[in-house]
Amino acid sequence: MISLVYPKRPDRVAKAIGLLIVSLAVIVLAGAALGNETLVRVVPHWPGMARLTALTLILSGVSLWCLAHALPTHTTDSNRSGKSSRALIVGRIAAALVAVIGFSRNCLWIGGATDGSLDALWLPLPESIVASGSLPRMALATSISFWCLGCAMLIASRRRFSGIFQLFVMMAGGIGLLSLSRYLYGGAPLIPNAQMAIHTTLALLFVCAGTMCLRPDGGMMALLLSDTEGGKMARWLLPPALVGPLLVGWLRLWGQRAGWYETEAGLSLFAISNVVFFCTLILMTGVLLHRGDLERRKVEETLRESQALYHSLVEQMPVGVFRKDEQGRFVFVNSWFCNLSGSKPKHFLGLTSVESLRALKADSIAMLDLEKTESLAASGIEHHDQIMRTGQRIELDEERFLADGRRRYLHVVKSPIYDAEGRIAGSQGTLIDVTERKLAEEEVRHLNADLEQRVAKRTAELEAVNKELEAFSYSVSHDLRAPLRAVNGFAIMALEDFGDGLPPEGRRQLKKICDGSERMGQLIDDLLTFARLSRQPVNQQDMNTGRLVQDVLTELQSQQEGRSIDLHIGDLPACRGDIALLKQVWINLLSNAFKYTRGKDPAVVEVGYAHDGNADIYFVRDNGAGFDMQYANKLFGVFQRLHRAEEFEGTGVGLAIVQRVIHRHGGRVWATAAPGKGATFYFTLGN
Amino acid sequence: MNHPNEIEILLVEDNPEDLELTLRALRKGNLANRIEIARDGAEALEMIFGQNGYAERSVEHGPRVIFLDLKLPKIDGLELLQRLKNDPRTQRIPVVMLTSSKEQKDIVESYKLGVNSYIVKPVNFERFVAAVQELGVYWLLLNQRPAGGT
Repeated sequence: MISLVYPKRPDRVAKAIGLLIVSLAVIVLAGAALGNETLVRVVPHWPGMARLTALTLILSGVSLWCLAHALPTHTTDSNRSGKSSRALIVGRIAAALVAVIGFSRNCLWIGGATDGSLDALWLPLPESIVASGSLPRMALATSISFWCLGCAMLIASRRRFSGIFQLFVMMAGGIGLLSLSRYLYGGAPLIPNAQMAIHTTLALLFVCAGTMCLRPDGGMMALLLSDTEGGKMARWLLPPALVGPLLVGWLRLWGQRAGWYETEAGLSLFAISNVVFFCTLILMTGVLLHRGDLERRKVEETLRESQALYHSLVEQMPVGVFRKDEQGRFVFVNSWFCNLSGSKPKHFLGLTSVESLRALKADSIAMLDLEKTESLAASGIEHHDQIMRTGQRIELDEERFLADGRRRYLHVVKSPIYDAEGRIAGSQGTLIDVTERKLAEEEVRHLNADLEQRVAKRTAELEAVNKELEAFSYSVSHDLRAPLRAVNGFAIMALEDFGDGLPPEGRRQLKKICDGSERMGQLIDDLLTFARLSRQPVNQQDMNTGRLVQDVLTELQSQQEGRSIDLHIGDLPACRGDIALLKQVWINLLSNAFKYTRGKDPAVVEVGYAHDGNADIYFVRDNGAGFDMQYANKLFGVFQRLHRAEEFEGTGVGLAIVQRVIHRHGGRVWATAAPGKGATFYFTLGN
Repeated sequence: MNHPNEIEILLVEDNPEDLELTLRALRKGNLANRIEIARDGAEALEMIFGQNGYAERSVEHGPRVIFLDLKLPKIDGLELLQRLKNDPRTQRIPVVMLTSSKEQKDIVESYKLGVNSYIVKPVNFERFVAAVQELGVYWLLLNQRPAGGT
């Protein structure tokens, strides 16, 4: 139910009016007691306010204040109840007195007592004052107004009398207006027996307004106080409708008295003025309503559009959506939600989860395995109850068993629905199909397990191959050398034993056999070294490069006696790597430098370092034989040689070893050279 | 000091070519006087411990030095070495590995078992001769044995 929002505090208005009326009546009473005619009559010779009227006005004011105080306001104030119930009693007693005074004065008038005897009945005065006859009496109109208002205030708090309440107030208000118009237009009062005093008239009109405020939630006041278009319109129209005709009537009378026109012409002027006035009012109202209506239509159109958008979104998105009311009955399901079970909205709407499962069974909906869905229906109800209780959202993964044995995995989010007051009015949920994702995850798990198995198998295979290789190199090392030794040894023995008997050519050939076998032994040794360095684990440690190079040079120089070699060794920063493997690298590079500078005098060998971007580059430079850069690609291959064996001996394994070791350190090695001008070998050790 | 049955060098070698080359090298150095040859590990053991066909020998009068190949039929060089070094009667006999293998694990294993020298046979015959001669001179002449026989 939409409740009214009061733009103001009508109870305060009523209280203020109550206080105003009481103070006015007290002032008039004081004036009467002091003999001040101005306070009693306002203007000399006008009718004055009777003392009884003033007294009754005081009662009305008190009643108004008390009833307003007892009025339930929308601010919840618990400790008011005691005070307000007392105020209600006082207010009602005062209201009843007002009604009784008014009614008794009325009855007396009907009974023919038109003099001030009633006033004397309620307000005894000294005989002398009453006898003077100049005292104002309570007018008949006043007494009617009073009993109307008294009755109205008595029943103000009763909602079912709201119609009669308004009638009473409007009667009193009408009488007040009548009296007011008499002051504007003059002439004899319409209701006989004395004219109402001007301040009595105004006070009565105010009391009417205050009394209306006692019933702010019903009838006319509800409309006037509401923030709807009707309320605004009523507030806007009411003042001109009240004042306008009175003013027009007064103008007409004024013109006639000034002698500008006769009664008939005046009446027609009055009528026409009223017609114009009300037509204008109606047209302006019409314009306002028209505008409002257009605006409302536009808003409605926007609302319809947004609803259509929402509807198409909810219906077309691949997500299940449902809403349940307070009792856990479905109030909305979208088409995806229905499709999930191959059902229709009628299987859900107005039913709880368990009931809708029953409905699905009754229609033998065959898409879901309904037996396995039992527990889901139960948990649906449980979740709803939990949300209604705690207001906390629930997020979980559910499985749906399809009749054909397949499963669908759903990610479900359930949350509370709040009404305008912030109370939990139901629950809602969304269901997202995550079957694909689940299956993919399972697939990934499966693949991972498979991969691990394959890696393990491959590792085992590689280990086996490694073992075979080791066995192979062992047999190369041992078994291949023995026959070579025999070849070499017996050739030499033949030379020793029978050399003298052989022709020179025979001796030369035997010598070739010796050299060849020896060379092959060297090849086998180098190849074994290469293989060993390739499979030996790299044991990384920090080392002093400068000292390593110095050690290697000391070792090598002992083999270079009798040569003059110009050695330049630059600053070499420390590095990280396998000390045994890197020693082999320096040995190979430096011994190459010594070997290929053999013909130079002086031979110049330079060891240095350069920093390029993020890499430390070490180099070995010589001024030896060098090589043609077009063969640079062959430089690091096993058994690849760029010089003839007669020029420079060697097996062609040294640089292959260098490259293998550097690569195993994550670095790279390269060379620049020119024939006859020397070569430079560079290498890095990764980062 | 020299027992009549005492042999100076026990050469354990299965390869006939290597055997011939070794013997020639020893002869060249005049060291071939009292050389015994075993063609496999088992025969070597019988000779040293005076078993089976070698009953005339006694373990107390073992060879002054044993030149041992690594790869041998029946009982290989390492096992033979282990047996000799584990037996208190033979553990003081110097054993020299004379082999083609440069493998680290062979070298390490031999030293672990208590070998006295490890020599890789050079392919070059001249160097081979030099090595064998030096060995003979060293172990038979220069090296001092503990007193009291073996």
